[in-house]
Amino acid sequence: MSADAIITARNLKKRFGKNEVLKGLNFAIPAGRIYGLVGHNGAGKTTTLNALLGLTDYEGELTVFGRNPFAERHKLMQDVAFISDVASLPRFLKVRELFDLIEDIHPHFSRDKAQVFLQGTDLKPDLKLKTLSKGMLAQLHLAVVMAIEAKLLVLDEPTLGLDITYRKRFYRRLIEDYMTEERTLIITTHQVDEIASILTDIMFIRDGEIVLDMETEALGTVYTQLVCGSDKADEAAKLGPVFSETRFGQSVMVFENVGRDKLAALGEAATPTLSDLFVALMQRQSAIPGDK
Amino acid sequence: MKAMTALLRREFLEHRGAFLYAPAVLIAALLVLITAGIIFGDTPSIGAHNRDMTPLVLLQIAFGGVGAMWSAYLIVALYFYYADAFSADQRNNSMLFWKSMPQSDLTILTSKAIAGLTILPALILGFALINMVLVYLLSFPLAARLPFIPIANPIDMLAALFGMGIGVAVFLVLSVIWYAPFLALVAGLSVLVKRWAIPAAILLIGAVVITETVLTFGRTVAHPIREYIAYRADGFAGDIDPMPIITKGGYMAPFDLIGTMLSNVDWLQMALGVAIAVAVVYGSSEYRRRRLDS
Repeated sequence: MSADAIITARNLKKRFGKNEVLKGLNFAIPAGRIYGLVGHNGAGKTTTLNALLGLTDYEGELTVFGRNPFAERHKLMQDVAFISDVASLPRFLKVRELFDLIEDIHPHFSRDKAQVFLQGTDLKPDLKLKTLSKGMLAQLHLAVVMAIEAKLLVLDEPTLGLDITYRKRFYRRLIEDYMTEERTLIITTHQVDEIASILTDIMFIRDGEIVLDMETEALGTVYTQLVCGSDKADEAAKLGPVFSETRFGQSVMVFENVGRDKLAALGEAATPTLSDLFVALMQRQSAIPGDK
Repeated sequence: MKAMTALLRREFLEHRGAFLYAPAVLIAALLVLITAGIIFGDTPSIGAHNRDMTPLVLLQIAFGGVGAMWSAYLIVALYFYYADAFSADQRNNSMLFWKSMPQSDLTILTSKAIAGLTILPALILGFALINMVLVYLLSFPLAARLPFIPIANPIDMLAALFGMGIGVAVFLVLSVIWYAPFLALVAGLSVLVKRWAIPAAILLIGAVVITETVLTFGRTVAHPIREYIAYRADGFAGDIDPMPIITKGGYMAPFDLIGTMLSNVDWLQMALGVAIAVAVVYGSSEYRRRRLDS
């Protein structure tokens, strides 16, 4: 575990009745990183985030900024901002009233910043939230969250329901206007390739277990995707791919810790995209990294 | 303090329908109905016995009636308020938003409890005072129609408004505290069963009373639960009759009434009610802390 980690989890478990949703997660997240948490529906992503945010109890050890999140959620929220559902803003308010309230409730909220983030949208101060479309609600919620001076920002499917133009603008602003060296961002999304370029670290979770926790820059040193013709497929298969499939008559295989030079002799070898790697690691039989 | 004030403002904004718009509509409707009654109604045969009363006493009685009406409105509105407020954050998943704020669940539920004891009764008191002034203003056309109705002079009116206003305020505050266990019951249940708490609280009390009755059926024994619930449901003022106090007349009559009310309060039961309410708020906050859908 890293000494300068802002989040540390040791043997983090969560059980709903007989169903064990988190099966003893261990991880450490240092400051200034952008983590992508990726997994199928029901894999345990949201439960992990809920535990980090103090929204649910758990077994094991978990600290966020040195605090026990479940016991000290309200103190933790001084330094943490999150969106778990972009449609969760209270509907009885107007935009202006929402800002008025948050300004008084949250000591680190900047109304001016929120208004800057809303520039270029159709959101006006006197609009009632209950009249807004889901996309507009998402824009408003993202503006609110980004206007909070937080050390940790957690976004659970933040762009769900938003069109591609706004999604791209949001991620650009997130990097250009929001991220600093001190800030840490944890983000979950199913549109994983859309955020691949901004991530510094990636964590795949499957059935309550972490199957990958790695810096994105290091992915290429461990994983290689090979695209080869059928004449080389048998030879490549002998090298033990973690995943293989046929696309348009060609074999596509993903290898772990197999020299790229050796693979390049068989076909086109490259670092897999996050979505290809995700599919590969989710489909291999063992969820335990390295255990093929 | 700033955060608590904002949370109280949130309660006002969320429930202004019941505590601002509905009372305003009610007053407007009463104004229209009473005005129509004065203009188009038959000459009533009542009133002859009022000729012995001074204009001040008549006005104090009228203001007392207005206060009683708004007190009843407040208690009913608060019953629905607590059933809604303690479960409101479940709507549209907004629990997630409120939990993203640096405020504990206990602070948020406390703000809801305090709103029902402060700003919301204050709003209803405001409407009661407006209603009293309207009653006075309507007494002019009424007296023009029914000459035996005496008109109070402005000084008497202000004295009656001041005295009865304070009397109604004291009555509202004591009533809300007296009924705190009932209000806490519906609030606590709403955390579990949302708006079903509105009938559930009544059914629960009824079930307890019926169970006690069934268990003691055919025996000549006391029914302490039924008697206690009836005692609390009666209100803190019990069998105080305000008429003899007010009809004694004078500017001090409302204050004599306040004195009688205060001397009639069972303070031990008041404290017990508050303790129950505090326990329910704390228990609800601990439950809410552990759940995202409560």
